[in-house]
Amino acid sequence: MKGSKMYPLYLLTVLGVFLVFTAYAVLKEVNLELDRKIDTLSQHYHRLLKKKTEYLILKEDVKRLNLKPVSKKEAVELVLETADRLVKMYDGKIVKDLVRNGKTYSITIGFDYYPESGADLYDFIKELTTPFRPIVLVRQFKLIQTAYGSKVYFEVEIAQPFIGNGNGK
Amino acid sequence: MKIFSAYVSNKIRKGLTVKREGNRLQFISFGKKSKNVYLSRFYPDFVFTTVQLPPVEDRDTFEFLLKNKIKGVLEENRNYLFLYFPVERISENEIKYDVYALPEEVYFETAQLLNLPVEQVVLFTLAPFSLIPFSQRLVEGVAFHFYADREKVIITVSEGDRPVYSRNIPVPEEIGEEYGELLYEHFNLTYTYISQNLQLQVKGVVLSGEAGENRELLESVRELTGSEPLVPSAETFIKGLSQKDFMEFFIPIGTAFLDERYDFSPYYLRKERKVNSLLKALTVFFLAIGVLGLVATYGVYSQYREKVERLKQIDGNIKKVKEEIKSTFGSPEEVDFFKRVFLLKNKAVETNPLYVFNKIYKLLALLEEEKLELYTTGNLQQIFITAEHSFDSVSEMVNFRDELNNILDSLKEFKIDKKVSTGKDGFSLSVILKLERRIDERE
Repeated sequence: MKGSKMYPLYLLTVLGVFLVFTAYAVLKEVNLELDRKIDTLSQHYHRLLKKKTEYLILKEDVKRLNLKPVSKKEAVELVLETADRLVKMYDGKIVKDLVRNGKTYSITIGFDYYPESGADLYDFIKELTTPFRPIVLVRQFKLIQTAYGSKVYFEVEIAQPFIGNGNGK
Repeated sequence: MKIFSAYVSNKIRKGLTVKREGNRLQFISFGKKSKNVYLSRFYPDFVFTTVQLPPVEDRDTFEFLLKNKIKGVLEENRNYLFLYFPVERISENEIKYDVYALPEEVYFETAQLLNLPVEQVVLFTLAPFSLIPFSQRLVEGVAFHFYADREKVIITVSEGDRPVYSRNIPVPEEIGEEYGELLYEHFNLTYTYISQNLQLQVKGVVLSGEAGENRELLESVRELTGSEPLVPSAETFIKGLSQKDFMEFFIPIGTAFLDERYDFSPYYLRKERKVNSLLKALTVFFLAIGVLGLVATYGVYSQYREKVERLKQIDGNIKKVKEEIKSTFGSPEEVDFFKRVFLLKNKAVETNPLYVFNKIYKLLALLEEEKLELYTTGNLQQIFITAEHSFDSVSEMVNFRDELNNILDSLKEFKIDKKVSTGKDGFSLSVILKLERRIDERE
């Protein structure tokens, strides 16, 4: 058989067919791998698109509210400034001292407020909670009606995130 | 299948292309129109002998045994081609064979004489065998076939498809008038020998070639044998050829009817030819598969190209979006900062009494609360309400209670603890409520 003149041609054909099918199998496998990669990258791309939208909204909000980054030092100053003001104006007390939680400084102040009317209380709370620098969270609100009028006890957390590495105090 | 059947004797070279159609041939052309060549050779010096050998399946082994057995009649250092026909079984392990042998070079020389590559030679036989298909068809039992042309006389005695005896006699060139006499003389001699010496019961005599056209011979044969000699007619054996041409091309036409049992071609070449045709078929098969494979592979390759393009595109998009994201803010820290600011602000909104009381404004409008407390600890937000109410009538009180219940039912967001007690006078209610809810941690 091996001596036959057809043999080399036959061998060549078989080899060719083998190569063609090997190429086919390899390409098929590569295509599968590419599909997986396309899937992964597409998912990644969509996550990025979502992130981009998120960022654009964030950017829009920042612009609208005219927010600026706050340094660590500024954060402490802002928190203490507001705390001081509340303490002075309403004879407040420090409930929880200045602490740093991650990249945020906060202090908790407790004080009494005697609203003249419901509208007054509304305005007071609104004024207290509107600013972004620093942010005020009302932790406790206790309204008691007395014979002399209303009395409200507020316990507020004055908090300010800051930018930077956040190392040290 | 189309066959070019050719015949070579001392001076005569004759060939024609035919096609096999059942047990007849179809004449195609006197030229060579096919690569399947059947060759018949007039070679009077072939060796004929009879041997007894065990039945061996393998041809190579059989020929080895055969050569050993008949080496006395073969020339030394010369390759021979063999043809053998089993005659009868002598014993359990021995069969009697008629053996025909001729030097191998005759085969190559014949092909060369016709300028034919040996690959094209499908069958190579001796002229006497080419007479057998006619005898077999015309006579049942032992047939005596007498063929003659200007060059030679061939006599083949056969039974069915098996040759029994053959004589090949050259005709002298210078013969003239005496040709007819010469034919009869050879006929007579051989016929007598066959029926008397070999004691064969001849059932029919066939005359062909020029012998079939010689009236005197026909007459004499009839007288000698006491029966009518048979002359093959073209119509019975081949379509599209005249009787005259039929007789002229009688030997190659007979050759075209033969099969491999009469083939002298060297066994190794026959094997190679078989292998070649097998390999050829396999090669064609694999080529077809290969072409299909190529088409499929090309398809997969196109997909591959598309996918690579797609990948590049996605990669480009990703880079673009990354760039866009990067350019939105000064630094990742800045993003992180603003995110934390908004997160904190959201929490501030959730803890804002204005926001929380807005959720229960109907309740607050109904109750004249003495005490209203709001605590936010972690995610838990609690509201405590204490209220006292006096009524002028029972219906007023019932209405109030119904409304209170309705409002509380509508506050799905809260988990509510309710304690309502009637005063001693029966017209006042003391209401103590505890409302709880969880604040979502939104990122």
